[in-house]
Amino acid sequence: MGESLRIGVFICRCGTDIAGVVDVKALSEYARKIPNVAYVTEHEFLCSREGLEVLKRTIRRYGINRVVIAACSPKLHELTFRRAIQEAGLNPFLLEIANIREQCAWPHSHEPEKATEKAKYLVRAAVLKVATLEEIGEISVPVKTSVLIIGGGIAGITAALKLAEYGFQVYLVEKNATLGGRVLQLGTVFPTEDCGVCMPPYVLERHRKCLYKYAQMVMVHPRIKVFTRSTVEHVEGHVGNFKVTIRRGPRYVDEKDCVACGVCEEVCPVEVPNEFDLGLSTRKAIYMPSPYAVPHTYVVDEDHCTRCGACVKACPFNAISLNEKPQDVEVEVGAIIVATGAEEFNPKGMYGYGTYPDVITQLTLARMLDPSGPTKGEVIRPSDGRRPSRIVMIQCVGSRDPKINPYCSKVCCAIALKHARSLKKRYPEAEIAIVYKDIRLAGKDYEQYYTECEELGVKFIKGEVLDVVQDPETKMLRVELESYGERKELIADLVVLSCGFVPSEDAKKLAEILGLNLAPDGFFMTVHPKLAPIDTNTDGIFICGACQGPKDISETVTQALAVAAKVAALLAKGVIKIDLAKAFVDENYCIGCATCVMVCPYDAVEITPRGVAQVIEAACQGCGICAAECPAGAMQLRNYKDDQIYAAIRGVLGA
Amino acid sequence: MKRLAIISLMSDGGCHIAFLELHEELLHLLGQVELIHSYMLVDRREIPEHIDIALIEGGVRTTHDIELLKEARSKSKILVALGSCACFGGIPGLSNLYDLRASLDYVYRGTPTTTEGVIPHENVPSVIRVAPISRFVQVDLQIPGCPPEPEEIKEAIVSLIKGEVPSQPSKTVCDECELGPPKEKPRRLRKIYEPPEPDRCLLEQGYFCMGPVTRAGCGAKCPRIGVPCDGCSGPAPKALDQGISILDALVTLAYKNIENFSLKQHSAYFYRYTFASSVIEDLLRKKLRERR
Repeated sequence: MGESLRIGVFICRCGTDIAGVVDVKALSEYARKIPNVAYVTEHEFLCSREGLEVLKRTIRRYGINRVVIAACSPKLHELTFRRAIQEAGLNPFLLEIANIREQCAWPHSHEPEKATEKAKYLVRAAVLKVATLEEIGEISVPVKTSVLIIGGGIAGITAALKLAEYGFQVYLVEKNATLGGRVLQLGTVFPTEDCGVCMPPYVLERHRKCLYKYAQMVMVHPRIKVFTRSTVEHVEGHVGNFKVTIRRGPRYVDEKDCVACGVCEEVCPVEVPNEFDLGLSTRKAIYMPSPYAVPHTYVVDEDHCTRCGACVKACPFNAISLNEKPQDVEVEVGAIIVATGAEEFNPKGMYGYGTYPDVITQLTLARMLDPSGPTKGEVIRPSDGRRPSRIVMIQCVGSRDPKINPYCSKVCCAIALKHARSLKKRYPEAEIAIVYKDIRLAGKDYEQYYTECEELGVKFIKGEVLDVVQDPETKMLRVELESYGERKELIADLVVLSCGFVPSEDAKKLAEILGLNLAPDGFFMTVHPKLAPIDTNTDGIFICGACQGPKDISETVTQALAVAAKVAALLAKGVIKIDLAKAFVDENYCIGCATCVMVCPYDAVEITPRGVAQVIEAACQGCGICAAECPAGAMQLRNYKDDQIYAAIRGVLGA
Repeated sequence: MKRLAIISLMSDGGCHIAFLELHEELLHLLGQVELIHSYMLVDRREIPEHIDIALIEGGVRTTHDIELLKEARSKSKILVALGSCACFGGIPGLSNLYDLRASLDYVYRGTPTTTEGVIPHENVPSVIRVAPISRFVQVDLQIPGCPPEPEEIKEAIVSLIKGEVPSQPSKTVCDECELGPPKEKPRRLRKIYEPPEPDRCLLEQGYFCMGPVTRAGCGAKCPRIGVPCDGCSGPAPKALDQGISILDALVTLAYKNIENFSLKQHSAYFYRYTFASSVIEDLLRKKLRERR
């Protein structure tokens, strides 16, 4: 670089957040004396519009060619300041931020002198480091304009339809035989109490459209290819260019030829409990997965099928073949959306669930309340088929319990109240009690459930259930609980457990395939819960819906639409720009030991045929693990090279 | 004709011998330089004036070494650290793991064969912590190795005579080794006496081989015959610290993978030749200074 260094130091007072603790005046006096510093200034709020103008103006007026900003954490405004200095004509990477708020003013507020002293070290480190920085450019990479969506529930369907509408090719992979996911099972859904399959049209068209119709639209949409009974087996590549292997499981019934006449079902000799109705009904080994199944064709349950061939002979359209094998299909996509949803927590062993047939979960109750469900909308005791008259619901089963799941699933309260209200409306004489720790009904549409339930005579008992036991003679259930320090007992003939959400059981495997992180609770982890709620640590892979935490339908749909918009914005131009603030290899030093390949969390390094490492810049996220691990010192991270980090260390040490 | 001197500090003379290992090539070399000082070949005690190239053999162990070193520096144009003792402190550097007093006590009085030993204290220079020569003088070129390669010594001298910067290897031993670099992670660690499989990377097999982090130039002599590299040539030119580098590499290879990996047990390998110039040594010295 021919020109001499002219470093500008901009100190933000952040109102009193910084200036209230750090002696900003002393800090700027100090900064003036550091070599190569051409200009020092203070500002009340550097990130404000006016502050940024001052920054740009100063850079131009004083010919500043490197910028140090002493302000808040770079996590907040690094990008803002980069853009600003770029507008002022500098390369955006000639910037270093000294975090004098989160690292000085806030934690050391009780010792302002030391906070100021530390701020000086940090500013000096930033000045010494910024002097060593290099300009970093960007490259354009062409991208595929197709998208893979994993999960065919309400989230996946919504995102698929929206993206297809935008003009992208969508591959929708669903592990089950039907699209629709959990919502199909729900009967009615809050807050508007329409049926789960007849969801109101938040998404596409103004008139009412049900989820069933949605799912059918997905099936017939020219730009959506649906893979049911399929899983994602392997993913390689990076943002814009993923290669995905989809394992397409056999349905044994040809989707095109089957007209759903049901002849096969009649002749099938195998009868097993129907998992769609949680065992409230039975089905055959060849069956329709749900009355609303999409694709609306029969499918064979390979675990129970005896291969007797009766259905093959009976089918008038020759649509059945029991020799079908799984097939691997490879697709190329520019982005991946994970929408695998969640499952109801299995309370086996708790409160007599699994021991007493009359202890059920809310999902089972939802199946009963569904007018087109196994009981045609009648609520019964599974043990004897009689109508229950005393129903107790137990809240927070498997939720808000540090030993099981510490989090609140936040929808279970609303589900319980919705069901209590429906029950009370249908069976006014039934006694209904809800045992709760706290009733959590945040959101404008939910409080009405509480008031209505109270009006209808639903009893709310704050307490903790200790156990549920069955009276051996009367077969009634005794719910023992502790409420306000008192032990109480409720007699019930049906106990309903309000279970929380747990991550889908395949989440772990999928996370490994995609290289995503799971939070300690097992849900997919987002980059930032507030500001980047659908982004993952890997560029080009997004998550939406209940797979990243318990959500109700409207939140899920909102996220699905957000993800569609985000993916559209990413791929719409056909190319993506990638800045080169990434790792790079000095081939003169690389020995091709593949340490970098082994440690890279993003599969962004490969060994070339020449035996040296090469960084795939589109995949590299600039985390620097490879640079730290390289035994030969051949791998370096741009603007975090060894000598640049040493410069910062010298600054901190005052050496 | 350029004037060449070989000056010995704390050393066993092995690097000197490595120079002599050039055999008849030495005669060609001596046609181009005049060897004016070498305790093995030239009968002269004082370090002569006007040295063009001084090869310093051995690290610094006594105050006498410092004096010799500074004298050599002041009398020579180019000063070369020859061998790993001069470059990094070498194997004696491991004694820096122990307290200086305790070491002296052990050597002069505690060894099993000593009876009523005395720590010498009259008319002897005082003993200090082992150090590479670069801690006291400016070093123009390093030729590491234990011993260094005769060929590399010759080429370095020839280049220096011509006024060129000698070309030196930038990679590590794995690059020269036909068995390496490791392609997969080892499952367990093997002891050195267990016979290795032929034609397979020693680190992969679970031997503690320093190949990935050791400067190339030796032609991977040891791993080629089934002996794990012990790191005699010191760290790769761009690496900060040989021990830290191997630890990094091993964390990658061994973490949750090797059953019987023990940091304590294997740490002696990490710095066999470079402890005196390691980051840990810097910290120890800082601590000792503060204590005084």
